[in-house]
Amino acid sequence: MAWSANFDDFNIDDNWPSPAQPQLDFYVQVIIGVVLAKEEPRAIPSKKNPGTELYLVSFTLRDSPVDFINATCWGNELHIQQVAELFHIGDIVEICNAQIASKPSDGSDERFRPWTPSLYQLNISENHSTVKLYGGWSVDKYYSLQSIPIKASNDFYTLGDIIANGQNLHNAVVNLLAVVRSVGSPKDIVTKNKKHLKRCEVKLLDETCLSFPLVLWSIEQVILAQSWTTQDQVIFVADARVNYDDYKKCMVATATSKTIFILNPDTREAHSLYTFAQSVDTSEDDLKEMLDVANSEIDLNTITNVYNLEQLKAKVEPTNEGGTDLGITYAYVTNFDIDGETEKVIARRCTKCRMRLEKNKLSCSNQNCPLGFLNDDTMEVDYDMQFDMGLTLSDCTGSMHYCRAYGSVVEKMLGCTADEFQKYDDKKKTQLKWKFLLEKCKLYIKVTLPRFDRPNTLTRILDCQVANPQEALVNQR
Amino acid sequence: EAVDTKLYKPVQPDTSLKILTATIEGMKHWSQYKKDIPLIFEIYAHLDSAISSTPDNLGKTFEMKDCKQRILCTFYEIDRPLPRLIRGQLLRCVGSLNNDGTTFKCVSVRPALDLEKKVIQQNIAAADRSMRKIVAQIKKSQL
Repeated sequence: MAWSANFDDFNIDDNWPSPAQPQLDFYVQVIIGVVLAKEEPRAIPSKKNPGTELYLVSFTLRDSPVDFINATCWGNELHIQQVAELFHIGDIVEICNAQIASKPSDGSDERFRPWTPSLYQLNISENHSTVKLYGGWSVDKYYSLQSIPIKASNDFYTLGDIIANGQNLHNAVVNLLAVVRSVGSPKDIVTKNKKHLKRCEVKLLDETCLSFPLVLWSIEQVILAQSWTTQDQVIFVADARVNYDDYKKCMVATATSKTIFILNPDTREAHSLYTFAQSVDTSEDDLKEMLDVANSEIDLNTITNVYNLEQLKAKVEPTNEGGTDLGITYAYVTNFDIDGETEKVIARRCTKCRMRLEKNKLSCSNQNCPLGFLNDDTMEVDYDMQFDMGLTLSDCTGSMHYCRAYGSVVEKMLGCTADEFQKYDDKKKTQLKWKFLLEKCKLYIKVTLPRFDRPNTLTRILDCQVANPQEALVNQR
Repeated sequence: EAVDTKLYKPVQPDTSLKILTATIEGMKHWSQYKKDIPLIFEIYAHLDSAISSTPDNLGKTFEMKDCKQRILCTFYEIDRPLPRLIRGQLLRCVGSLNNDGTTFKCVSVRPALDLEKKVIQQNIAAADRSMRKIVAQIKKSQL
């Protein structure tokens, strides 16, 4: 996707100076700007002194709504390491005495770096130039540059466009405008040639698609993504690569060294997208993701810690962040409403996309369902039924609400599948209910603590059986 | 000023529903706090009367006796009948005390299991410990 916009697309504020030609004759020259993109430090073999290596770190600097430029710091390994740790994407830096060089006209310079409107590039050498964090007063002016578009505000693909184009867009470089739905935790990856990488998967959403993966591979981009607030952050991703993932069987976007993120752009498109995102309820999907994780088996024999509910509740205090905890508790089941509405006990899920069907509906409301755009209210989908219910547990220290029990766990408790259960009459259901209700049970619990992108604690029951009274005494130390 | 009172506020007691194993006497004692905390009791006592219908004819009523006290019990057969019980049998009943403290409204009634009988005292002790702690917290927070 080539640059197709004019600078006239930007409404330039009168406060901004008009783009000026760089002054080449200053002896002490200072350039201040906000870092739009940054790569990790690397080494290349030196041409001058064969056998030695040159160390460098590249970044992109912006100092006006229309000007940004690529810069490269050169030096020995330690110096480059220090420069690389000094600042990250979004920081404001001050550069003294950079060497201003012309860009090669054939575009070879920007094959692996962001495209810039400047005819020049900056070389920052260890001996003649300095880089430091900006300490002046005009911080807001520079920070705001992170939100000014660098491409025409309508020059992007919606997520639905990418899915619809599918493999036609394989390996294309496109712009995206989307809301951050979730930011996954970064994973360390070692490649075949022993290179250490960070991988972080961000889920995007817009009006056409509720979940689309964007994969980040660079540490700098991962650091940036960790600051994104979910469902509040609109990002314009300039020059991301999209390709068809054979493993996931879907389209995926990847941020490359050419990619620039513009945060919360002040455009009509971005504002309308933000308003849309505030109205979307993604909690059901979170549950679905949790289920996928839950399906990986946990060996109950490895769980030995016993907690009473007071201790268990202390674990889920909002002060704790992230992570999961496993434990055993002996408690009374005080809410086990299985002879009421079936909807509260059994979830009907679309066999194609696993999305829960709405009450009294036979159609799938998921816009991303592989059944695609054919989805409408009249189209009945195949679904399967699985137990999915919330229990309340109580003991002499208190109660814990909304403990979820799914699928096979409930099948084991009740001794029947969801399909069979649905056919039981009320008498039989009531009989099954009183097997557990107000009885002291031994419960294996998994607590998933809240993360910044998922504010709720998830308490999941892994196993529930009526307790041996003697064994349950260990709860009362 | 609002900030100040917040800063010095003692720990908020956990006032979620609690299930306490208790003697009949214990149940009457702890029920004085039921305006502060919802409480459900698990009582082990002997059936000490015949089973008859309640005056409104909608439920069953009987009396239970433990080592110190006796209590009138009711059970409304909302979704299931009262199981067959034998006078003199040790029962395990779960429910709550009505407001005037005269009737134990049971929602679950069944004969006690042999294994349960051995651990009643320990369960009562644990519930007492837990209640003493929470009552102390409640009194502190009401100061």
